[in-house]
Amino acid sequence: MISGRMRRRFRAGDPDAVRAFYEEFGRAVFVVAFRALGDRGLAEEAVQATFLKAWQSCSRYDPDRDPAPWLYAIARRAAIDLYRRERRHGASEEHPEMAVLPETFETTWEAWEIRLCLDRLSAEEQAVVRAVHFLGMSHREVADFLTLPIGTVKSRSHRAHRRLAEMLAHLEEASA
Amino acid sequence: MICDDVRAAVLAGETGTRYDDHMAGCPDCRIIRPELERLRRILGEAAIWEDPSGSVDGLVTRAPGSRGPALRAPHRGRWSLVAAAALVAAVGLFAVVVVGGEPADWTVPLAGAESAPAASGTVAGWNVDGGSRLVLETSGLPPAAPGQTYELWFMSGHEAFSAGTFADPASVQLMVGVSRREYPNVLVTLEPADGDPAPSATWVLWSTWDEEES
Repeated sequence: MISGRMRRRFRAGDPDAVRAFYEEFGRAVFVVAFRALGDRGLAEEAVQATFLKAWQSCSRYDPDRDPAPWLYAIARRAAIDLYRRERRHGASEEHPEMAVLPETFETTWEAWEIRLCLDRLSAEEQAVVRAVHFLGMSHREVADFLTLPIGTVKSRSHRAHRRLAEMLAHLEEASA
Repeated sequence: MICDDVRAAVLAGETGTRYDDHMAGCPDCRIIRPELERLRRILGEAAIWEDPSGSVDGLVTRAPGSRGPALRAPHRGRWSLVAAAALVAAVGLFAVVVVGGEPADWTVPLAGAESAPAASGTVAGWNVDGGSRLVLETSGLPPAAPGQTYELWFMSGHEAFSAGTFADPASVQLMVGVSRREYPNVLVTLEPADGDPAPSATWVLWSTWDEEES
């Protein structure tokens, strides 16, 4: 988590604080851009644009507030700008300002929140959750894959998912 | 069994009669279940688990005293002062760049190099704590082809420090953690996606001599 002191340093434009913000939020920014744009290269570009814009706008950041929503807004805007730029280059006869954003932009907030929550799990918990969801493994397969006792896998999985469910409760309640 | 355990199980994709029994008697969990299943589907998407390959080092700064990558193609002495003077006249209209109401601390005119002789541009810089904020404006350069990017370098002799990459060269904003006093010259290259940290030999724009700070 970004400390209050680091937030104030970011507001002052301290490059080390920009690095700290990247360490904390860079993966979530990348997830938003990659999920929205579907292209790794463009997503990398969006990450750079997001942190550049954030740094340029640091004097407008309120260090008493959580920087996550502010950075998310910048990241989504950067992804939209890149999407429209690519549309403009790909189909010059179209009017980019009229372009409707694809569905991939609709749930970027959930993706952002999920990635931030995953980053708050321990490395061991993340490995189990990744194997379950990304690799589609059963607990037995995860145990073999990570060379862990199956009991350990089950307890880590339960603990990790319980933490995730708690951290993501605001999304569940907002949508339910 | 309590709600938190059941919700964790739903998020994990686990099934069983004990979870179903709880759901049957718990309206709160029944309401939340579809949302948990939606979040579980997002958890399975590849994009969630991808990491960026870069860093913000190109944007911000480098460790004091460290050295930039060696310049691979330092063959730029062919530009005459006369040509440079003509270039300055050509891009003179860019001499005072204003962004956000603040005039630039310095500007550098750029000439088209051998890979893009008809191109031109200017870099305007604002000195900020820890480095420089840059605006690059160009003309005569097309967007980079797929698999390629443009890259702006600060140079001192044969030493180069990357200020960042971009695909559309029309108007670019970058942040770099070095001052122009350290790296007085500017170079723009076209880079293949080869992972090589040094500038490529495809130079498209370069500054013609060390400008004085305005």
